[in-house]
Amino acid sequence: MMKPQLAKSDADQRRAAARRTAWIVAIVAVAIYLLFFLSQGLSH
Amino acid sequence: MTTHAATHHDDHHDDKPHGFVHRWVFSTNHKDIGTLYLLFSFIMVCVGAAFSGVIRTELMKPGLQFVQPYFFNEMTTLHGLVMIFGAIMPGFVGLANWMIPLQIGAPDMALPRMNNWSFWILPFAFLLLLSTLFMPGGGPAGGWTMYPPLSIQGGDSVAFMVFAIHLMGISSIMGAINIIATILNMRAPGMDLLKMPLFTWAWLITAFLLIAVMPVLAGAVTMLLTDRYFGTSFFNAAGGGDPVMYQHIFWFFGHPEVYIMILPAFGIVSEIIPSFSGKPLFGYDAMVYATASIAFLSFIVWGHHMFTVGMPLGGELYFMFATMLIAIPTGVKVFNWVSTMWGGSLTFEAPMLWAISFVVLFTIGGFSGVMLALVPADFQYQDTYFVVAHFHYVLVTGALFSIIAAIYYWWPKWTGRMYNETWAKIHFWWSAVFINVLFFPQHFLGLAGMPRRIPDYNVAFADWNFVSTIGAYGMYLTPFMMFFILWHSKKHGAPAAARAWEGARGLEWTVPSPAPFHTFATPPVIRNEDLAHGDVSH
Repeated sequence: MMKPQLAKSDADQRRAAARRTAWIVAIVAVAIYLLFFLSQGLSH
Repeated sequence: MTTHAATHHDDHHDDKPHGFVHRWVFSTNHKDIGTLYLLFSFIMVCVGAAFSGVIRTELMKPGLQFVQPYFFNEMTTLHGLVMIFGAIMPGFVGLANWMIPLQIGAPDMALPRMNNWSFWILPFAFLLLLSTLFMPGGGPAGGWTMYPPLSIQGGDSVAFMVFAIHLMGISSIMGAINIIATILNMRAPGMDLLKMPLFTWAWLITAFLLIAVMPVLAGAVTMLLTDRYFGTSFFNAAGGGDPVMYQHIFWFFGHPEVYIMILPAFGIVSEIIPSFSGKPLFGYDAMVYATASIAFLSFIVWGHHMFTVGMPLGGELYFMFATMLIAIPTGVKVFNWVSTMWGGSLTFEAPMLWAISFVVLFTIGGFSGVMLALVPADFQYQDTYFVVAHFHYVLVTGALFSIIAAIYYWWPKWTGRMYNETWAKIHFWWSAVFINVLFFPQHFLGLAGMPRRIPDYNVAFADWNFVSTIGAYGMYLTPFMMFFILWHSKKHGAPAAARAWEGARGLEWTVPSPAPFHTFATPPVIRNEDLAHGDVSH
């Protein structure tokens, strides 16, 4: 049986980690957009 | 029944913002934003159904009856765009907003303000898109796939359509980022990945699909825009471009998009069937891996949408066999759902009826999909009503039925009220009959050679078109039925227990019904009997 995690700092750490994850995923999305758009543009 | 988490002191704080604007426009609460998404989806279902009403009424008899061909083409185009991007996808995102934090023991989505932005972009995107109907030159009429050169030969609706799709794409990407960050970073201690409910798992995989393909669609429509307005020739053969390249890029987005609209449905059905079978889900791990396999395969089969463009034989063979591989993980899922029911103590409340009909009718759509994957057969079926029948079995009796199943399943948790079971069953049986009257004859029409996207047709197709339109008229009553069943429940329904369904498992059933405005402000202690799957002692 696990004990409840009460520390506030733990929640803050989770949010910071979530923001990092979000930025990484967002950069991947932008990279895919540029890959498809620019690769077509540069091939002409 | 254990409801220990329901008594947690944090759950009793009900500090909802006061005032309509503060509560709904500025909302950062995952439950309120989930409700907004679901309401938006319901409105868009009604708008999309109205467009299909024009289509089916025109097609009730041969000959031009009510509308001009160009307006008919606007209706087919906007019906597709509205139903896919306005109804089905926001419906699933609404369910994700409501249920993922509750299922993993998180207090909210990881990025609540971005969550607000994701939703509120959507109404403006659809205002832009639908406003084109009132412009000189009319709305987009080149089909929801927007193939050039046809799609960019219309009026300025092209620019509005492209901008609307960019907005929808941004909304979907932000929603997907939020779901990934929430699931990877906000799970309660003890909620390991392979203990998460299948709905959450399906959405995690779906979110990765969204991140991978929505930017591709954005790239494709940006190229359409520059071809139309800035003199580029991406898809203009006269300028050295290639119109077939658009089809490749579009379907590299389009096929995963099909799975974006069906993987969350698989997750929903995997939640409901165990709850009403009195048994845990059969083959939980296999279900997770099958979902991931389907997602992977969705990236390497796009060519089956364009067999008739004239690709090399080797390409046709590759895409045919790769497409058929999808039947394997999908078959794993169907057999696991049947195995879950096998030997269980089944009860047939409304959510279970919708879930079982999903399994049967979606499988019909899957079978016609395998038929379409056969290259020689596809040359006959291409652009006929057989294709229309196929993808409506997948997207209506598949995706839409699963959303309705989910609403009936989780409604007591959302509102704290049960609904009238008899009326919910009448809603189900009415829909189950008329949806088949609507779409099954379209298989016959397609096999007989009736093309899709036409306002007039040979008299040889008259009888089944008449039957199909009768089915459509029957279906148009169902949103009203559902609305009144849920409205009556909200006003007069019997109070729901925390665990509204006896066999339901998962953290969402440990909080009271209705779910308090804030839940799991402190991560819950997870006990075995609260988990939908897995064992916390491992």
